Amino acid sequence: MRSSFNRRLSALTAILVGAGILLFGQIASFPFHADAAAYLEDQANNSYRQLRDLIPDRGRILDRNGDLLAGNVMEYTIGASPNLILDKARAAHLLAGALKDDENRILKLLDQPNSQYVVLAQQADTATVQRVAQLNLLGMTLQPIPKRIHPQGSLAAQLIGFVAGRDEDGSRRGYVGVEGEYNSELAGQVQTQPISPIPFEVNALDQPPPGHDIVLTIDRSIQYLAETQLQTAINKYGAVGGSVIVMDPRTGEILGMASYPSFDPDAFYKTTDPAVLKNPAVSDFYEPGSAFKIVTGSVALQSGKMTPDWTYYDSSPLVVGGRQIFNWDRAGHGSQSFVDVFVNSWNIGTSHIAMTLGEDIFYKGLKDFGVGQRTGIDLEGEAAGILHTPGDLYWSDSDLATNSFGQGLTVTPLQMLSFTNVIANGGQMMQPHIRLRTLDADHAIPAIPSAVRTPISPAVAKTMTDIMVRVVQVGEGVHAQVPGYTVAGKTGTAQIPCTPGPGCTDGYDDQLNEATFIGFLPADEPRVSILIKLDKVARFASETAAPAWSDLVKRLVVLMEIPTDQQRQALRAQGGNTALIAGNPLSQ
Amino acid sequence: MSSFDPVPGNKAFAKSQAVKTTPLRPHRQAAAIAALVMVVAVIIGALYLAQATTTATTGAQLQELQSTRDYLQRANEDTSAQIAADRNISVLRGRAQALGFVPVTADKLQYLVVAGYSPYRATPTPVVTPEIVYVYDETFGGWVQQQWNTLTRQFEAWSGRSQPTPTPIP
Repeated sequence: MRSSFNRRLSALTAILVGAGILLFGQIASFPFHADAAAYLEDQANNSYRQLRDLIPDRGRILDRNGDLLAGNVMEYTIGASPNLILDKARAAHLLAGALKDDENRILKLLDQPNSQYVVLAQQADTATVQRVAQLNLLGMTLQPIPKRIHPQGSLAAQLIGFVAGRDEDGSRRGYVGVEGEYNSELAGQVQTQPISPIPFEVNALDQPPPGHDIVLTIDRSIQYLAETQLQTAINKYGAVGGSVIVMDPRTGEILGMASYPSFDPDAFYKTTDPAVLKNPAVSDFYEPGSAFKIVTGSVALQSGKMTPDWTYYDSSPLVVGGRQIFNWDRAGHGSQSFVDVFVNSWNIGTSHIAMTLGEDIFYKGLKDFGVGQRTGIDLEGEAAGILHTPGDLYWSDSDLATNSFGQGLTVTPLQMLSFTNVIANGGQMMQPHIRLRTLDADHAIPAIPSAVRTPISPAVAKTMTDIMVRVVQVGEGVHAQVPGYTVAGKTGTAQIPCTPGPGCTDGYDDQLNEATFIGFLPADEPRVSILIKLDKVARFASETAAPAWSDLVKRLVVLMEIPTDQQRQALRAQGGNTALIAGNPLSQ
Repeated sequence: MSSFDPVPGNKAFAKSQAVKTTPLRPHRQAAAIAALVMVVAVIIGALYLAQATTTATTGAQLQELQSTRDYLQRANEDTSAQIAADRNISVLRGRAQALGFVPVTADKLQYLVVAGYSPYRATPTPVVTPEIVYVYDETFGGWVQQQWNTLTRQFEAWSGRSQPTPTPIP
């Protein structure tokens, strides 16, 4: 009896010791992480909780006055599981009322035998979903689908970009323009939260904070004006496309940027030509033609090797590096001054200027302006343009002459206007930018205007301004005049490179041109600079882009409340601060 | 008969009589203990059930409130979008034309000098106060610090010295 008890006791002891060893082994093998709490929480989550990615609302895009350009709404797909609905006739009757749909159609859908799921409505709005939810019907599925909306329609579509598909983290992805450039700020941070199936465990599914709102420098009224005037000019002069950029030269802010053809950002997927989705004002480069002469003139004056009194003898044609250079009228004009070169837009004149400067000074000057380099604007897809310099494979001696009047090199429309802004802003190029500020909850993070280049002195800028004023007063730019205002500007009729063949001589189209006009006003207190470019027109820029520029600016000065010269003088006489009226925010 | 034999009057007799008169006493004691354990278990169970029910109910209410909040947020967004669409520049332009307005030209504008007025008032930049990040290091000292910080903020909020801020999640 005693012996049997001892055996049992020994067996029990052995079992307990074995269990103890097992437990000890388990404890010994337990990974004592530095963050044990997090490890255990993860283990708990993995064992019975599901993880759900909570995707924040995408940030909004607003214009400088707070008007919504791109926002979000939620659309819903309303579905049902017919096998979970017992009284289908009653459900169909109720759903027809909530969905404002045909009761028979819904009943037919619900009556499908062996059907697990049917879609009753798509792209339903929040109010409809709320009506359905209030029915408390078993077996209903309300699937939210976020949608990017553009209340202003196609306004500034290429500038804003579009949203399509999802990133790896599940957030929606923006492409081109602001949506592409500021995608990470707009998208916000996706958060992963555990969901517990246990009914008395409260799931605090707090929606993560939305992405940052981006406030743009553009004014939607100016943008609308730019788009409508561009469309009018294209129709009027038979162009196939074009671009308009409106900037504040003192800050580098883009006030408006339009191109045609454009697209509907709410239906971008219907666009047949993907090239339309990009922004030609920053992504497409072209040979700027005579508009580029202002850069050549600025470089010449800044070098100190030339003054406005410089003269040359204009005989046509001029042969440089084996290539014949002609003026636009293919004639020679005898003795001409530095100013005449720009007022009359003589190609031979700028060729003489470049040759007088020499390769080193000329190309150094162009690089100081940023030719062939991106401006660094905060828009996705900016192009740099092309500038070949001596020593490059594709550079030839004749390029020194042709580059001086904007051929053989390429720039984007934005670059061309930025060069103009150097002159308008006393020799300083401000960083072109599209973001005015970022809104992050209660914080506003402003974009601080900054100077990026100072390629010329204020004195040179003043001289070039005076020359550009003469261009508009008595030169090729007379059609760009705006009554009451002193305008500084320059025309640019650029030939279009083509493949040699019929209608293509010396590598350029015989008929069609790229017509550009660049300018700013008021010339003495520049407040706005504008570029208008018309693609493939059969006439000179002085006959197309210049009058189109004038038509645009006549409306723009009203929108921007820029007083006429006479009004500014009167205001000055009354003690008004016209610099303030011109509104230089940097002086505040 | 010895003096230790149970006879009426001595202690041994009294003890033997007590055992005899309450023969089931040990059983009753065991039953009482078992009953007590059961009662305590039932009370704990009831409390747990009540607590779980309350939590579940609260959870359901919370989810309902979250659902309502989400709906209201969506409704707000819809309304904002609708307002923006109604203020679409094409719509405004059409409305203005219907009302007989015509575009103004520069020569018809009159500018006035207003002494001391600047049309470009500086936009007040919100003062960004550095966020105090409390790091809960899972020590007793850290826990005490966290409670103290919470208490201090609540007191400041109550006394109106600052806005209440949510307790950061450790």
